[in-house]
Amino acid sequence: MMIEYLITILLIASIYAIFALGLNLEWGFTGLVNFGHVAFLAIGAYTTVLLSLHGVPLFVSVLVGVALAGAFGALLGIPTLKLREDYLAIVTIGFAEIIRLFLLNEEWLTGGPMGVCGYPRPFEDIITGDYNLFMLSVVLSILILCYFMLEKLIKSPWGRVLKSIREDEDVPVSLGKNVFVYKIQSLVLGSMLAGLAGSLLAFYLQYINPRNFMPIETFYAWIAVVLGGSGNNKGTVLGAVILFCFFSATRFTQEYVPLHPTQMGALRIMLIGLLLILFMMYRPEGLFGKKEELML
Amino acid sequence: MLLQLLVNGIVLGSIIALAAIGLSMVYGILKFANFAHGDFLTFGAYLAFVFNVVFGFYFILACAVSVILTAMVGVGCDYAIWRPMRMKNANRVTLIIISIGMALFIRNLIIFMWGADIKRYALPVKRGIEFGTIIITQNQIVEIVVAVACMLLVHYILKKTFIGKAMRALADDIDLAKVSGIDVDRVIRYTWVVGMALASVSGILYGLLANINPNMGWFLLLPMFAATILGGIGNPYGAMAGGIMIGLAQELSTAILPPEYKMAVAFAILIIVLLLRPQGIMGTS
Amino acid sequence: MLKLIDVVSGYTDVDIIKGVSIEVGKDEIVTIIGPNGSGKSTLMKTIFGLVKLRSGKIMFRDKDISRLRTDRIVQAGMGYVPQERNVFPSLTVLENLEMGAFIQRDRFEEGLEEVFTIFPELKNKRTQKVGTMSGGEQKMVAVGRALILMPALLLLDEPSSGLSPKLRDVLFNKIVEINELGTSLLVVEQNAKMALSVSHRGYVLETGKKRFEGEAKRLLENEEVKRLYLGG
Repeated sequence: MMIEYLITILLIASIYAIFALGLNLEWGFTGLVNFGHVAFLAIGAYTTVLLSLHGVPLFVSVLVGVALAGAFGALLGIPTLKLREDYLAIVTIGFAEIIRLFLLNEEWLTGGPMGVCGYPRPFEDIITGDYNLFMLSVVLSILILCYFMLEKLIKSPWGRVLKSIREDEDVPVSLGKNVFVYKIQSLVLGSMLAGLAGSLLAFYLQYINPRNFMPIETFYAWIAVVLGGSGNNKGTVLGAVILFCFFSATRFTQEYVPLHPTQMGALRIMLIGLLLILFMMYRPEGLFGKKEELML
Repeated sequence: MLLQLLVNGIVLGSIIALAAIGLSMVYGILKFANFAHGDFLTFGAYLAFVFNVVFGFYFILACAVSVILTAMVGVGCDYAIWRPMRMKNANRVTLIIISIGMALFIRNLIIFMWGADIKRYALPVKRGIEFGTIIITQNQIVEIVVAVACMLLVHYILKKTFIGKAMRALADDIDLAKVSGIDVDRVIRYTWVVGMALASVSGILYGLLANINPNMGWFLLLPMFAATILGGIGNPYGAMAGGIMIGLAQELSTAILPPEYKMAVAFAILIIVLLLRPQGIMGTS
Repeated sequence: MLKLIDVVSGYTDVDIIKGVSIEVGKDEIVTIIGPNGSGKSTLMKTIFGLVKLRSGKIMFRDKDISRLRTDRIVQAGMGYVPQERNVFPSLTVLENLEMGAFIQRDRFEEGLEEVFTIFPELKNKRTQKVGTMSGGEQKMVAVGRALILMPALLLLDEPSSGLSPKLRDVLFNKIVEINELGTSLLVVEQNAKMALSVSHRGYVLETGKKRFEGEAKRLLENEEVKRLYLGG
C-alpha cells in the first residue's frame, strides 16, 4: 500500500516538475511573467486525448498536443511579449481563463463541464503488472530527458542571451540581438513542456475536465519555481517534489484533524499563498537559488 | 431587449467602476498591479454576510462594519507587507507575485471559514419594477444609487480634502511628493483605506446583484484591470468611466455572443487598449 | 546656516562627490558651477537626503542632518526645487502650493501671501492646472511650492534650465528678491555667469571635488575660471 502511494506521489510530482520546468525557462531564465501557464497544460491534455479518441496513434497525438501548445504559445506571445511585465501578467492570466472558458462551453468539441474520459493510455493493453509503476518510469525518463536538454540549452549561447534578457533587456538589445525572437522562443519551448506535462497528466488522471485547469495550477508551478530558486532547474524539480509531498502529507493527516476536506484543501492553498508571500519577501532566491543570480 | 442589456450593463459597470477606482489608485501610486484586489472585494462581501446572516445585524450596519474592517485589513497589509517592500525598493514583479500569494490566501481563508457554497444576504426578495420593456429590480436601483454616491464621495475626497489632493500629488510624482515634505507613507495608507473601502462596497453590491461565492472577486479581476487600463492607470475618474464602459460592453455583447464569454469581451478590450493606446483613453502619454 | 564637511557620496559603487566642504551663511546666495558630470546635482541631492552620505558631515542650523530623512529636513527649514519634474501637473497652482505646506498647514496662508508677493503672476492663475502652463510659469510654481513654508535655506537645481533668456533674467531677479525677504539660497547652475552675478559667493566643482571658491565677484574676474567655465 505504502509503495503504491509513493509511486502515485512521485508520478504526479514528476508531471508537475515537467510543467514547472517550462515555467522556469520562461520566468527563471528569461524573466517573462507568465501567469497563464496552465492554458498550455490544458491544450496539451485536451489535444492528445481528443485526437487519440478519434483514432490517431497515441504517440502522434502527444506530439501534436505538444506542438499545438507551442503554437498557442507563439500566438499569445507575438502580440504581447512586447508589453511591460505587469501588463504581460494581466494578459496571460486572461488568456488562460479564456482558454478555460472555451473548454467549458464548447461541448461539441471538449465535452464541456463533463470533460473527456475513456481515452487510451500508452501501452495499456501490453502492461500486465503495475501500470502506475510503468507510467512512473516513462514520466521519470521524460523528466530526466527534459532536465538535461534544458540544462544544455541554458549553458549554450542561446541560453546566455536569455539570461541577459532577464537581467537587463537593454544590454542584449544594444548588442544587436533580436530580443523579441528570443522571448518568443522561450515562451514556445516553455509552453511545449507544459503541453507535454498536460498529455502525461491526462494519462495519469484517465479523465480530464476544465476543473483540472484552473488558474491555481499555474501558481503551483510558480511556487515550485520560487521555492526551488528561480532560474535553477534542479531547484524547480525539487520544489515540485516538496510541494506534492506536502500535499500528500496533509492528506495523511486529514484523518487526525477535525476538518472538512474542503477546509483542508483551502488550508493547503492558504499555506501556498503564505509561502509565496514569505519567500518573495524574505528569501526570493528560494531554498536552492543563489542570491547573486537574482534580478529581483 | 437592448434597453434591458443597457440597464444591466450600467449596473454591472458601476460595480466594476467602484472596484477599479481603488485598484487604479494603488496601481498609480504604488506602481504595481494588485492581483489581490478582487479577493478583497470577496472579503468585503463575506464580512457583510457574516455580520448580516450569522450575527443577525441589520444589513446596512453589516455593510458599514464590513467596509471599516476591510479598510483596516488593507492598512494592516500595508504595514505588514507593502511598506517593508517599499523600503527595500522591491521590484514591480516581486510585488505582483506577493499580491498573487495574498489573493490565494484570502480566497482560501474565506473558503476555510465559510465554505465554498453560494450564500445570500438576509434580505427580502422584491419584485422588479417594470418600465415599459425593461425590468429593474430594487437591488439594481440600490446598486446604481450607492455606486453614484460613492463616486461622488471619491470626487469630493480627491478635490476638496487635503489628503485627497495629496493622493493626486502622489499619483503624479511620488518622488516630488517626498521632496516637498509630504508624509508619503501616511498618504499611501489613506489610499489603501479608500481603495479597500470601495472594494468592500463593490463586493457587497455584487453579492446583491448575483450571489456570494469565494470566486466572485477573482472573476471580476480581469474586467477591473481592463477598466483601470482603459481609463488610464492612476486616474480614478478614468476608472469610473472605464468600469461603466466595460460593464456595458460585457452586457451588450450577450446580444451576439454566448453569455459565458462575457469575460472574453473584457479581455479583448484589454488587449486592444494595451496594444494601441496603453496609457488608456483618459491618460496622457 | 549650512555646512558641508568632507562629504563623500554616490549612487552605486562609484563615489561621485569625493570629499567636498562648502558653506552657506545666513542671508547669502551661494552658487555652485562646474562642467557637466562634476556632481553638482548629486551634491544637492546629498544635502537633501536623496543620496546617501558615505562619509563626512552635513550641519544645518547647528544640527547634524547627515542621517536625516527628507521630510525631516523639510521640517528643519530647507526647501528643494529639482531640475526636472518639479511640479504636480494634474494639480492646480493653489494645490501645488498647498502640497508644499503639508507638514505645517497652519502656516500656509502666511506663506501663500509671500509667494504671491514674489510671483504676482500666479495670483490670477490659482485654479489653473499646472500641466497646462508654460515652462516659465511652471518654474514659478515649482519655486513657490518650495517657498511656501518660508524655509531658511532654499536649494535650486539648475533653475534656469528650459527658460528663455528673458525668463532667465526674471528668474535671477526673483532669486535676489527671495533672498532679500530672508531666505538663504544655494544654487546649482549651468548658466555660470548669470548665477554668479547675483550671488555673494561661489564654488566651482569639477569631478566631484572643489576646484575654486571665493566671492562671486572674484570668481567672475578670475582668468582661469573665465576661460574654463564662463566661456572666455
